[in-house]
Amino acid sequence: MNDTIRKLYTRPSALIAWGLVLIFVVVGVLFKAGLVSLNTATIAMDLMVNIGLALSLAIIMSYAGYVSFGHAVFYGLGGFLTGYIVYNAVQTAYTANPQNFNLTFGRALGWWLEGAVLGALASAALAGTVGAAVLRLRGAFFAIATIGLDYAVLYLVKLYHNPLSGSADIPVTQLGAIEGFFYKTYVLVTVFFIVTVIVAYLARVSKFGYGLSAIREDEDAAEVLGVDTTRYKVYAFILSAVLTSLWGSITVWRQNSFGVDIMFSLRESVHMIAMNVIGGLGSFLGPTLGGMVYYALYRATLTKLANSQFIVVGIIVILFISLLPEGLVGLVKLVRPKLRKYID
Amino acid sequence: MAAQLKGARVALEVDNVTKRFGGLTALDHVSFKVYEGEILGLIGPNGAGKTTMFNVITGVYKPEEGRVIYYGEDITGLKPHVIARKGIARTHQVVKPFNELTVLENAMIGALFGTRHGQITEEEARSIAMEILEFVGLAEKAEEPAKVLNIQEKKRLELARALAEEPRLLLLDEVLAGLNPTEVAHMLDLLRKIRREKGVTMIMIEHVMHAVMNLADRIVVLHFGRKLAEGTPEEVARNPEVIAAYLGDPELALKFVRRLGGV
Ligand SMILES: Nc1ncnc2c1ncn2[C@@H]1O[C@H](COP(=O)(O)OP(=O)(O)OP(=O)(O)O)[C@@H](O)[C@H]1O
Ligand SMILES: [Mg+2]
Repeated sequence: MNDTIRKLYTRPSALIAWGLVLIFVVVGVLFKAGLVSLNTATIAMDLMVNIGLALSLAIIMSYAGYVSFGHAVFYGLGGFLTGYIVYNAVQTAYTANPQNFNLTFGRALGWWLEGAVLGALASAALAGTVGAAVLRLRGAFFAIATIGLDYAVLYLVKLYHNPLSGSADIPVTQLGAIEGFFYKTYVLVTVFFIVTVIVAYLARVSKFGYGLSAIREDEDAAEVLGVDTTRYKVYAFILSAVLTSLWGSITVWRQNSFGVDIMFSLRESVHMIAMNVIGGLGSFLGPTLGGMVYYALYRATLTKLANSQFIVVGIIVILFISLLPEGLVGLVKLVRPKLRKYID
Repeated sequence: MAAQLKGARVALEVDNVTKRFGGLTALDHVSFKVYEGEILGLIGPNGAGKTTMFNVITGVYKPEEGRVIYYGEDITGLKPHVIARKGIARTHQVVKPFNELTVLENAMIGALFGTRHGQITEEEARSIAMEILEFVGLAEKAEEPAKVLNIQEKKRLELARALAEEPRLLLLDEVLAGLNPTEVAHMLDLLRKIRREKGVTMIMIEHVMHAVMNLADRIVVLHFGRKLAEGTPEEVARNPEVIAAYLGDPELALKFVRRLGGV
């Protein structure tokens, strides 16, 4: 165990992640000091969310080799339950005392936590039941089943009608009016980014990570070698789902709204998968790099191409899969084979 | 050897095992015992049910009938990883390396999840793995990804991974298949070294007749899922039924026996 913890501050891959954390912290501090623009700080925050989501999915997809198209479900569940709870709480508090209604960050954060915990529990429950059943399938069959899961939950949530918004979508615009909301949210995102980095890194380099690698490479051989493959897969799926759900909760908080068709959309799953593919499967470093590069591509094409940008992003993903199936990490291994042993 | 074995403990007992695949009976009421410290050869024509027997012993398949008893404990129907942790390791006829992982990592996984599962640190697993890689002659490939190994190295890796589990019973499924004569000789040396230095009980499935006849203390012959014969290599090689069903040429069979004299 101590061996594993030590890797967190000695291994190069972990140090790269800590370098990123440092950059994000510095950006936050400079923003607070008025030396960095809102725009730059927003980009930093977007990067954390993207890398965070890539790492969340990586635990099951990249480490264990199970490509899940169903992660939008967990992202959406976290978002939906957080939006619902925060919105209801805000409305109730307002109705009770409209004159003296004063929404502080701390009070709202308490509700957010409630929603985030609820979303995480719901995601864990879903991953531990339906996920466990679906994890009996392999390869394409697993992937297809997770697409089914995504649609099933999307349409189930759509049945819910929020009386005020007239659909399942939930506006939590009151949050944006909170004094210092942006900066405090930046801190929240940074804290959660650090949590994700630590969890995802330890899941990779611990004994658990060895087991997942074995499962990815040859599940039958892993089982015969003593790896409790069923349990490991389910644990990986639950961990991955919970992290994804928490990022969903953060997204709703940041954006002050929950949109059912956006957050539960298969497109969200595809983003997470694309980041892992671009970065390269099997490592912690892959999704970390993939999350950054994917977001950079997204930014670069955003203004110029507006809605057609996903065509370009899609083509780039296809190019990666066909020309560089091992992703950016594979490129590193190709150019500098000696670096292989530093890539966790 | 057979005389020594009289007093030895029974490591594994296969008791009346039947395994069917749909209409096909791959194993038909097969029974045999493996004594601690011995090497049991398991031979028979293609499709006789040899690999299926390994799959039943390791829990990959559950038999329709019969039991598998390991050191007095009924392990029938337990999950493969549970059986592995009790000390039964195997190699695969068709090698199953963890391709993207290094040779060392492959062996480490054996050590981490094998019989010492849960009582061993990563560093200990690493040194056990390294020791085993030295033992099988793969140490200089330790940092290479397993996918770059050639077939005989992959066979050694299978063996290394299984040995890293520190098993009491090792099941070898055609570790000599696909090797050229020099490689076969090297592998045989290695198997002898395993028996000499590790004292592991072994069952070996093998088509390379002179090798089994040489190494095994006793041999069980399977034919269409049934146990056709059991005995010392000599007894088996002289058995007319075995000659007819599997060994073919009686002259050849005798040659194996003669070669035995020289070993
Ligand atoms: N999973 C399976 N499903 C259906 N039939 C199977 C399965 N596994 C094995 N069989 C069949 O069971 C019989 C025994 O196969 P097995 O692999 O045990 O033979 P073997 O003695 O190992 O042969 P070989 O020497 O060719 O390796 C064969 O007819 C085979 O086709
Ligand atoms: Mg076979």
